[in-house]
Amino acid sequence: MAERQKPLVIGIAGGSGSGKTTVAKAISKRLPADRVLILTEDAYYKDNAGLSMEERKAINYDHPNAYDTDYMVSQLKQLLNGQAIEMPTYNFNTLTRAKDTIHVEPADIIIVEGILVLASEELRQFMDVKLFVDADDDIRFIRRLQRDTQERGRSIDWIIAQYLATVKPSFNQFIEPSKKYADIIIPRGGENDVAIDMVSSKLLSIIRDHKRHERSEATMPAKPNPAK
Amino acid sequence: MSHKKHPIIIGIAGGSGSGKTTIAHELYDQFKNDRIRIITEDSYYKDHPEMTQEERDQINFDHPNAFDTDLLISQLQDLTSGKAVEMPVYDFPTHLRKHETVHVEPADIIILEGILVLAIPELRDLMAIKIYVDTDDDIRLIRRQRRDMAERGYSFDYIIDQYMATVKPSYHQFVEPSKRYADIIVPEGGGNQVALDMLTTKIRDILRRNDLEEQKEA
Repeated sequence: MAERQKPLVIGIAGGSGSGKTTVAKAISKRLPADRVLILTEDAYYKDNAGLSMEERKAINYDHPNAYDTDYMVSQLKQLLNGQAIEMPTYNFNTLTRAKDTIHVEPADIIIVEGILVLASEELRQFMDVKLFVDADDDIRFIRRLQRDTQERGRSIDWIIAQYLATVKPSFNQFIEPSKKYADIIIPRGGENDVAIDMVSSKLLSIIRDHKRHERSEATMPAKPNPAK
Repeated sequence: MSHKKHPIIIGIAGGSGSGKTTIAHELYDQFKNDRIRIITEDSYYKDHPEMTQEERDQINFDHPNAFDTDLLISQLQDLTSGKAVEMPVYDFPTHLRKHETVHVEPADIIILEGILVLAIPELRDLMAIKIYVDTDDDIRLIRRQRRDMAERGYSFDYIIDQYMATVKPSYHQFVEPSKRYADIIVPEGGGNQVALDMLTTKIRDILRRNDLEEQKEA
């Protein structure tokens, strides 16, 4: 039985609207689908089913406390140990954890993507590569405004109020300071083909190494399994 | 005789003391062969033999005008079209171009390193990959001060005076704004193993692709 190679964990952080999700998806598309998986921090919002709708709406969703980071870390550990997980899904309309889960098999490349993934020391310790996607504040604001009006049906006044009350302060307090943990900063996020290409090239070379290792293991005589 | 096909230029900019030269050399050391070259913008300071030493001491060495950009552009174009060049050599204590030159053969990869390489559009246009090395201002000043005293024989007072009068203002006016042209920003330059590794892998890919193309044509 081929010995499992340790997956490579790549963290991708950045402000809301920076293009980090676009970058994560663009990188993932360039890799063989069965060799990469994306863990989105957004899936791990705490389940606030015990609170009223008013209380749930009042939560600061850009604060580290809004996330069930322990759960995310434990699922990441499972994947690193070669075990599949049932990834939670979040319902942005009811602001609670949804009933459905997504079955995720382990993969050579694990992309951990989210605004606060570099701000969490527990998550950082698993990362082999740390990326921060950077964009001007005004660009990020415009993108968030457009996305929230189109996809989440919110009013402009509500979006601006939330942005000033929680999104921007959280960015300054938690997200921007986490930039210092990045190995590489990617400006202009989703349009930055050169950066996406460079990161993908590195990941592809790791996948090639893993495949090579798997092939050489497969041709070796079977070793007796050590007792676990 | 092998003809260097599709040479690409990788630009590495950043403030003085950011670590851009260090990472350029670390990259070069991964290959250390005739397929990769480093061209330093510093070699292309304009020559002013008509000035006195005192007048030359007053030159703003961080301003785009201090560089013989036309020569740099034409030599880069020569290299990318497969021609060797005679790269100038600059003497820092006297602020003069030396008589000798360095013979540089074309190569698959040319690393162009310097504070203003991303600030000049004609240089940017030649680059396939644009990198900006970002380091805190205080760290950069400490490094610059150490280096200038040790390697360039400048006095401490001259270094600080020059820094406040020209280096820092030029940094904010020309160097820092060029960050927005970068494809990748590398914090801390030398010692950033992840960035070095990723760039090395990319260069290796380019060399391998060039090899495959050459084989097809053979």
